[in-house]
Amino acid sequence: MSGLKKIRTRISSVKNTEQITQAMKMVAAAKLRKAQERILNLRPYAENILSVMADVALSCNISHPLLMRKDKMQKVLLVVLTSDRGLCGGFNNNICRFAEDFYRSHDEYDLDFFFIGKKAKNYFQFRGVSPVDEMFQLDREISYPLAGKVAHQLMKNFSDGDYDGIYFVYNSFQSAISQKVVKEVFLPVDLSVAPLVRQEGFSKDLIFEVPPEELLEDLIEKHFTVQVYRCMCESVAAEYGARMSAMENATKNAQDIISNLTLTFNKMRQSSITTELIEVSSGAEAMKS
Amino acid sequence: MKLTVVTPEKMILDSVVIQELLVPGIKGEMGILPGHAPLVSTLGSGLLKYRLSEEKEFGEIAVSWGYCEVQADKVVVLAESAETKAALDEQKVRKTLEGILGELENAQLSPEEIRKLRQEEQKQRTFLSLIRK
Repeated sequence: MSGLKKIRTRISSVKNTEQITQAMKMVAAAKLRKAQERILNLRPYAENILSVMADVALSCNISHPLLMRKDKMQKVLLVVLTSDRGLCGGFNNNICRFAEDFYRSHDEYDLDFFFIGKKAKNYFQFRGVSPVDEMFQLDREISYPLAGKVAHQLMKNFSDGDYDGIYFVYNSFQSAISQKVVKEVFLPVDLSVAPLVRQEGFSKDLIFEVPPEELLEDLIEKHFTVQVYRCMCESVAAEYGARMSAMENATKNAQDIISNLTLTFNKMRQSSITTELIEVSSGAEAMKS
Repeated sequence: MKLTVVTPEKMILDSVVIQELLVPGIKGEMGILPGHAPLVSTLGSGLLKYRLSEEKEFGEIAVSWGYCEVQADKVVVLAESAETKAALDEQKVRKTLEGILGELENAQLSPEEIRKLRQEEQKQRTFLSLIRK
């Protein structure tokens, strides 16, 4: 009997776990939809700002501190985007491992870290790396003004000469079930992609209400802010996607375990009934003779 | 002439065919009609008014800060914030505005912070002017 009872409690506990993972999956799916919408809404703005920038850049030549490429990269800031909470499959591990590999294989750089999300901080704490700056609760507070604040700080560091380059490492959102770890150079801004955007239907005699140099400076800063916001959005969306698929797998596993346990439970119950029947009938048989 | 109005957080108008457009440029309001010469300008805070092809009434959007690019047959407005009347709530806007004015009374602000708050104040006032219409 004790074996049966054990299995029964086991089944009910697995059922509870299943309910929790199921609920977490639903929550992640709902949040994912919102995060995806955010990316879609940003896209037209990002594309348009790039094409306006291209138009202005084509009509005038300027140099700006954010465009300056140093011959030799010395000081590099690595911005690592992770989540605050776990239970999302390989999401955080992949990115931390990537960042660590980069850190170990680039001895020539004087590398500093900026962690967004608790997981990266915890991962690197064990390895004796402490960040110059950190930020938490991105998934709750994500907004364009917040990205603006981060971008402003980074631009200030860059123009002050604290860093020769600023790299971002984040999970890019491919689809609800797949994420890819990418590393992008955000500063210095690379304007060489801009002229490719606009080739035809462009008139060179633009009228400028403000001096084009000022305008382009402003546009470059805006472009950088948009880039920061975009990779924050992607990271958040990727986190929810990863959590959703991880929780779906967990739910499936729980269901498998439950069906196996139920099978064993039924078998054991059947065998105990059979034993009891045999006892009764053999007892009756003994009485007869 | 096609008009597109986008902000980082949402798309307000997507290639809507219009007849006439008034934008709040940084140096004053600009009227744009089809066939306007190519132009790039910075925007201030104010009401953007557009008239659809078949209509007489102007549609209005409160926009704040950003850029406006006029090309041969299209106008792209990239605004930091843009709201239609339907999306605004008067009480909320008033509350935000009061909050900003309260902060401005604080004496220990850097010039940079004051400039930011003033911008924010102007944005909220633009919202109010749209609501009151």
